[in-house]
Amino acid sequence: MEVWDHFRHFVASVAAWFTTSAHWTGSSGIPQLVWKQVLLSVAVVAGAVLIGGGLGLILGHTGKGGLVAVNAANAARAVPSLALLTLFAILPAIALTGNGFLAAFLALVILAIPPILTNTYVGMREVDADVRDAARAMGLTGGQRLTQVELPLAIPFIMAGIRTASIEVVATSTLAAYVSYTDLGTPIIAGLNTNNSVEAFAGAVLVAALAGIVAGLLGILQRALTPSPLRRRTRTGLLPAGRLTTTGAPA
Amino acid sequence: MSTRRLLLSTAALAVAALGLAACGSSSRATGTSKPTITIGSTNFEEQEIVANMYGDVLTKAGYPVKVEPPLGTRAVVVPAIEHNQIDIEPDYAASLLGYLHGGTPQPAGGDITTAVPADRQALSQFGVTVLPPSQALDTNVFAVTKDTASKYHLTTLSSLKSSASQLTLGGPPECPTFAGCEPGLQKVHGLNFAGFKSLDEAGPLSVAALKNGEVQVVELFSSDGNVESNNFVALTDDKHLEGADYIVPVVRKSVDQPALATALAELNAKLTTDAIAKLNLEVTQQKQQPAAVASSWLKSQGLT
Repeated sequence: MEVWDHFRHFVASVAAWFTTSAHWTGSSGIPQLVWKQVLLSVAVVAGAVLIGGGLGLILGHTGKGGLVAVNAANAARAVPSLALLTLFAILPAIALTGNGFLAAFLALVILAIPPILTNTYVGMREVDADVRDAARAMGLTGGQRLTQVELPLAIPFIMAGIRTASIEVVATSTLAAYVSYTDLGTPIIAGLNTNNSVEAFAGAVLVAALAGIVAGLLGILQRALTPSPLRRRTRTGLLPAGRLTTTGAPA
Repeated sequence: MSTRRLLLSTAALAVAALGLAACGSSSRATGTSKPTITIGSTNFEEQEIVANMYGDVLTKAGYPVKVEPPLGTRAVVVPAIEHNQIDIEPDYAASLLGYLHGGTPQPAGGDITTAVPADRQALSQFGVTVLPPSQALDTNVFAVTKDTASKYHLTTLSSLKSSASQLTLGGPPECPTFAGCEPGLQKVHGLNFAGFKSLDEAGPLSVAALKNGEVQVVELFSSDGNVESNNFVALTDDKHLEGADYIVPVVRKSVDQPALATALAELNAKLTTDAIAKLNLEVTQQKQQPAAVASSWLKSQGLT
């Protein structure tokens, strides 16, 4: 019973932490911490979409050099983000510019590019060869094929990559607190340093909740951006990836 | 499973458990023979080095010794010694006292002569005591570069009073609310800094931030060697804000024998802040192993 009592007491302490008004106000209040985490994450994902997504689109369209790029990007996944972060923050050229924003941005972009690059490239390559041929036969230019045919069809894959990257980034941007960027990582690290497990846990709960919300919102976005024919599945459960109609009805 | 099989396997488990318990307790015998000493430490390199030192000097004193790999934070190590899972751990007199009182720094921690008795009192109910301290002090110091010190004429923490409003302080994330950090500097020394940047706890980031000019005052530890190796100036804590965090052996009363106490006392007499600072640097900068660093130092001191 002692364990159960301890658990109940802990849960009550965490609830008390959340209902303390001081934790919601000021420059270290929860809204401010959440905002900074969101800001960093949005910037990182935007940067990764530009670089990784752009590269993936081009390589996926031409079909050349993609495997090399994808493997190189995945090798970058093995680099530990915290080590990279500390390394950047120590370099005089980057140091703590923007209160740690620059160092965190660079370290996290390296983390976010691999899933986006890989998924964009694969999504583009998955477009049915017949569809590409048909589009070429219709007289569409390369650029038109990319934007009007290949990209819409590749959206499910691309959005999956962006979702994966976004959730990773939102969770990992917690580390930015190590380099003076005060976000949701701050209560976690401060709590761990002072043996205050309530504070550390409360911070973790907030990060998890934020990641969950981001996952949900991006799921909605993914649905919205997917061309409506692709949203529906045939009775066999397969996506009619090769069929485009203008009415939106399954072909 | 049939009832008979269930009974048999339960009985077998019970016998095995009893057997294991018997094996476990025999190494904790408090007889006249020298018991096996289990030494634990946190994963902080300095404590790892000292734990290995304890192991080596106690081995020389004729004890069977087992030095555990680093166990985790103080929140793991202190309960371990309280519950008889380890026999000795090296700790810091003032920080230990604060930990034993729910994490709040205690006034008795300000001086080593009051900190150790207070530690003993708090640990007594668990059958644990604290032996006399070493000479090595590892407490928070606030450091500046040589240039900053000469520019603003800084020697003590109080001398920061007039210039603090132009300077940025760097420290761990809990600094703005931790009694030994920013609030303490404000209350005890009257310092109000221009800003604060949260960094690691006296680690490479803090050193780099001071070097790069991102902060002008940074929290370091008095024994990690960073002040000396970077030519920083550690400002004197003239109003005794920081605790008397001397390294002390925390031992279970059951192993507190004269031979053990003498061996540790001889070690503590030679374990100074400078000595441990050099060893810390060997581990952090030259990437040597704590056990190797401890044993070669002990040989050089004639303790093993």
